[in-house]
Amino acid sequence: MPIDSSDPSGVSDNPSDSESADRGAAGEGDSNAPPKVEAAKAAPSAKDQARELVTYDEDIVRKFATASVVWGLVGMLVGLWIALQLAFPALNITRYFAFGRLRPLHTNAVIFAFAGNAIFAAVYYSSQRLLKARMFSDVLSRIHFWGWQTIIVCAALTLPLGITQGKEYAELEWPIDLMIAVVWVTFAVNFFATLRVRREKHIYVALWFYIATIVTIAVLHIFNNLAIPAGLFKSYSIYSGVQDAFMQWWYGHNAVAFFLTTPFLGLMYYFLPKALGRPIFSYRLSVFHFWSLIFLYIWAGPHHLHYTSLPGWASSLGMIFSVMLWMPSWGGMVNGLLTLRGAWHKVAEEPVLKFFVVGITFYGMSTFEGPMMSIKSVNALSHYTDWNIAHVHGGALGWVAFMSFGMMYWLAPRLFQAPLHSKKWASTHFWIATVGMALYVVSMWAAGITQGLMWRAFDETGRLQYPDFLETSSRLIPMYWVRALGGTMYLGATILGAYNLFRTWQARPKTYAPVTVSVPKMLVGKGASTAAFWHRKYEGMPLVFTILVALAIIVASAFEIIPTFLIGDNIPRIASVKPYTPLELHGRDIYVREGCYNCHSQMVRPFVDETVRYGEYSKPGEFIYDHPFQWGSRRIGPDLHRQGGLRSNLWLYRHFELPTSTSPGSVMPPYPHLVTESVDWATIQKRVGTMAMLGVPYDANTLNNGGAMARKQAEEISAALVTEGGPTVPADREVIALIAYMQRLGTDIKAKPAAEKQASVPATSAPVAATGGN
Amino acid sequence: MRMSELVSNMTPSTMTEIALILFVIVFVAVTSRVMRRKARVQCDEAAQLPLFDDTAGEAGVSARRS
Repeated sequence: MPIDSSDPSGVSDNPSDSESADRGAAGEGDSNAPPKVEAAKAAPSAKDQARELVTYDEDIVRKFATASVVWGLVGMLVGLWIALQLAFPALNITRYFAFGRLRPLHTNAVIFAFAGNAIFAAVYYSSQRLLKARMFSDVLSRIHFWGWQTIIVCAALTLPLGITQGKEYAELEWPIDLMIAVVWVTFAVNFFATLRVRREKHIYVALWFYIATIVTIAVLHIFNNLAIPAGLFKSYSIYSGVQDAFMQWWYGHNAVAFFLTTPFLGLMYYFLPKALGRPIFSYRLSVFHFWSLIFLYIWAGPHHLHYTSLPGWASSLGMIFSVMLWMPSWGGMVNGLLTLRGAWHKVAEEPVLKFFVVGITFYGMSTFEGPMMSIKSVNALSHYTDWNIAHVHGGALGWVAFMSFGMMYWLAPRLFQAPLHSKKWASTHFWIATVGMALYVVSMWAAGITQGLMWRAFDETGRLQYPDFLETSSRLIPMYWVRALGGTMYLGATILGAYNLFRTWQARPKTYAPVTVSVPKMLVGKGASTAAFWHRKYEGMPLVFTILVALAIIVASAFEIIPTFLIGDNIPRIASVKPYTPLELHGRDIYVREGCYNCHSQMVRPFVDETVRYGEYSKPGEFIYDHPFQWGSRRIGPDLHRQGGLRSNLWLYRHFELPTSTSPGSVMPPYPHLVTESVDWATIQKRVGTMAMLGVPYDANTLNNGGAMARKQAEEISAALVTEGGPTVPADREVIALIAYMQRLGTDIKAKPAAEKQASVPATSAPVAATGGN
Repeated sequence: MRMSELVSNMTPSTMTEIALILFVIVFVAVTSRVMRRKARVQCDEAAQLPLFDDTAGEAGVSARRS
């Protein structure tokens, strides 16, 4: 462990010993003041001969900080737009800006563009200083920066075009995934090489959090995105159904953990002491915080899948570790807040500290709420509702964004070498954003609990009190307006903040003064002094440390992943479940492309209210050909898993063309282009082949004549539409494929006698009663 | 014994129990490490790191004798 990496000889010939007394005077309470850039003393004395000058790369920090602010505005604007779409569906303008395509754009923009660039700004600024070294390679830094921005632009172009893998926060298609991997490795190489040439022995705790981020995100990204391409812009996940769901939420939850939590904790452990001019409350607590957090976090993913077809043991394991996670999280929060003890008066004066204090408080709140929601009985109510949306925005707006804003306001005068344009504006930003955030979170709590209770309500005659799903959605519209108001305030406050930073930038000097420090010279090779010895000795520590981190996350992952893949009983086969026909497969691709999973689940939970509302609860064996799974995480519309055969073809046709024609009051966007766009039969053939590569057992006929089979089935549906009194729709229209898919959904287990149903879980077994209140 | 057999023979709670034991081991290891008297001194010094990183002439905590 790094804290134990002290020089055993107790001897150091480092010349800075005599300077350690200077340290006490270096507090930096006034974060508004321009930085004191001290040029190193010109003529080095004899004492300084073993030293050299290092100039930090400030330009790369300026780049990432600016990108974070710009993309933050874009991401929040898209967020506000989709919030308004739910209250006012007419804002679903064209297929490209419909909710199902814009929602992934919003999540990707705020996570990977806004938060991502803020993380990189924090890492590049603090690592250089904590390591007393310039980044290893300016070229790698630039490749990282421009590569990351290119990825963001690609995301912004492809997601509205419907190019998606259909897995939340992992929507980007395989060519972009490859770019992410390359850029991430570039970043990692640059970071670890900087660690290697560092002139500071101890690796400060903030850097531990960065290391955990770099290692874990790489592992998560690679394993969740393993897919077989079926074209330049289309791929199928190598996992299916239960296993795909498990991998996705292992990834999804740990993206929250290692992209939105650990790097921001690193940020907190560095920038909070800087802004306050005093060290963190307890460094030892930070060590606990780090190891417990990274060890526990990685297990928690399955809590996203309670009461689904995921095996119960995985679900319980996820829940237990999620509840345990509460403690280290609060250890971190307490550590942050207690750093302020005796200095609370500074919070009143200093906007930077205001952002940090509320940010850390929201970290505490979200990390209490999360474990609570991971308890199965609470999750039975909260899952698929806006409570999730409230929870995630408490974390995103409160923790991630506020820590970023605090850092930006602290960095701006230093990076731009000019005083912050207006401290008052920064305070105004803080207050408007805080009130906006409160409106957002409270309205979504109300919406989530309202809808959750309405779904499970039975009247005195034993019937569902709100059998029409639409009623449970329409009831939320007033809360959606409140949410939109909160979001508008938050975005407005951010615009004010961005303008404040822009004005600060305008006041910059003509040329930036370089930030240069004097550091011990690194001596290598023969005849090196003891200085070189101690350096050599601890060069290896980051490696040991990184291996320990990797071990912590891999052991935990293996404990959940290996059994999920190895235990055959976890996913009992159902003989009557067959692969999708080529046309249905294409319909499913359209379902993925339009982002239907953003509003519809395909997972009937084993609760009385759900089986009464939707039908038989979902079985693991029903999803074995689902590459990727489409269980969803939010029901803005009803569950669709038992949709097959429920409605006529004509009803579905009209519903896709104009949802309000069949469901007055629906907030679903219309999809008129499905009626005009044609299916490419050759593509279907290719995609069937790709599915076969993944192990889907298509027969020889399907593999050779998939296109023709699809056309035949499409013609039947087209004819059926006319029989039902509908319009004449050419067989090659996309809507026909989507209807084929919808009519197939969840029907396989109805197709054969009960004897063929899975043995271990009889279909007639009593569903688990929904908890409480029924 | 093959891995799949081994895993199949576990009861659902086995994984949870092993996980818990692993966590306790990690926790005890970190605790014993961090609570040593020597660690306290090192930690107090390490905590100072962010505060002295901008000024010229600083070399870092590592140079100081504990």
